[in-house]
Amino acid sequence: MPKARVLLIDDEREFAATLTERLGLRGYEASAAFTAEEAIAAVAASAPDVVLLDLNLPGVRGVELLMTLRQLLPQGEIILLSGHLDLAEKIEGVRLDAFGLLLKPVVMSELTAKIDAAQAKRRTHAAR
Amino acid sequence: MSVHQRFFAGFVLALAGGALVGVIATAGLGQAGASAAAGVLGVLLAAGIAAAHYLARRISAPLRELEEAMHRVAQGDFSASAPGPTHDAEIASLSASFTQMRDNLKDTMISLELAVENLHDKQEQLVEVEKLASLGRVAAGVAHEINNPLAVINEKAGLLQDFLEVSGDFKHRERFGALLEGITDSVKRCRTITHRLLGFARRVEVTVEPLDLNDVVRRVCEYLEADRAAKGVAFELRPAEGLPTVHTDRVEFEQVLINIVKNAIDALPAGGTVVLTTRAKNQRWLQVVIADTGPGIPADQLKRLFEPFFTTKEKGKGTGLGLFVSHGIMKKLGGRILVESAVGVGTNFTLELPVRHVTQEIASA
Repeated sequence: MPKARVLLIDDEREFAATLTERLGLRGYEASAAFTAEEAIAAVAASAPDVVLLDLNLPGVRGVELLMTLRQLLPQGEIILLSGHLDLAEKIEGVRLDAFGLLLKPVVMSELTAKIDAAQAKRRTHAAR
Repeated sequence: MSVHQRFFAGFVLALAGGALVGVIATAGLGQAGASAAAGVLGVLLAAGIAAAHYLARRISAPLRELEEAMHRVAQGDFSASAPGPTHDAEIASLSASFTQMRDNLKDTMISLELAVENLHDKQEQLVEVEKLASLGRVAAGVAHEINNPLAVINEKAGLLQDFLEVSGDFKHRERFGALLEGITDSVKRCRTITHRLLGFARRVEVTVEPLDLNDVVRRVCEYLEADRAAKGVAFELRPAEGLPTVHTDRVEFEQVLINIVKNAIDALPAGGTVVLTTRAKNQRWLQVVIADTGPGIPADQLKRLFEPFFTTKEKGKGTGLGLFVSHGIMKKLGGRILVESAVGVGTNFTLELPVRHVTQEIASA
């Protein structure tokens, strides 16, 4: 199975840029978007397999962005990645069918395991 | 006729009698007898006044006593009693009414004092709950703010480790690796603290599932088997029969139960017993009671038990976050933690869970 094409959406540039590079070193085709606008443009342009989304982007309700991305990306999986998730967001995330939720700082092996699981789920869906 | 009226009537009667005799004597006797009659009149008048005075004393003395007693009761002295036995039925009735009024007032005052005391306790609890809630918000906010830069450190150090792995040998390579490990280990320690502060112990998804409470308690006991054996204490399970199925997040609730049972194990001397009881409080609430016969928690510490970073354990033994996080989780699950403790007797923790999860309540509303 080919490694997932990953889009990381996070306004913390230092974090997003570094994590993108590390994922690249692990064989993922990874890119980063730092704002909601960039994220929507990137999703429309390249339709990534897996999106890592920070729900706490400034100027946009995370849940709304999640809904938008879900519509734009019916075949992709979205993993929530955040410094803080409250219960309402968790419930909403589960309701909106996010593949999973991870809390920063994340352990690399846990993150790649989650990305691979999302990719596997996506492939089985696509194969159907 | 009232007491006052009777007193007045007696006085008037005595005066009138004296005067009447005086008038008859003056009319019937001549000039010579007039002075004698005047003497008799004086005597009679004096007798009338004495009689009035006697009557007045007989009535006014108990009244004064009664007034004195009422005054004392008004000052809050409930030992004040009514005047002793009296021949006057009305004064006796007045005394009895006074005594009954005093006793009623005393009872009312006592229950009022209890109510005020109760209110003070409740207010204190409310202040504590509010304090914890705001501390929780601050702690979660701080954890969030720290997590973001911490994540940057984590990834930068991680990237350096990635590079190191694919680099050839160079001067200080080993030191380089060890230093990076020092950084990532410290990040992990911070992460443990911030994640616990946010109540994310092992997993972040919320999964509400139907659970058998007795089953959960048994699983937690199995999980803590090694800790139990190491300390040399026993578990005693007292499961209630026929409990309704509870809907909650298993992992989160287990985390709370593990925290509390671990504390109980820590509190007990070797040979002690942790008693775990399940029961239905009513149709809507289930309880798990974790009882230990450890040293107990003094009242002043009991108040601070759920504050973050408060610990009674030795330095380095506890983060002081276990109960704080447990309190937060129980609140998230729509339940609560209650604690009772007596020094020298032991401590009871009660975990209370709603049978239906809060999201089900919302869904069915």
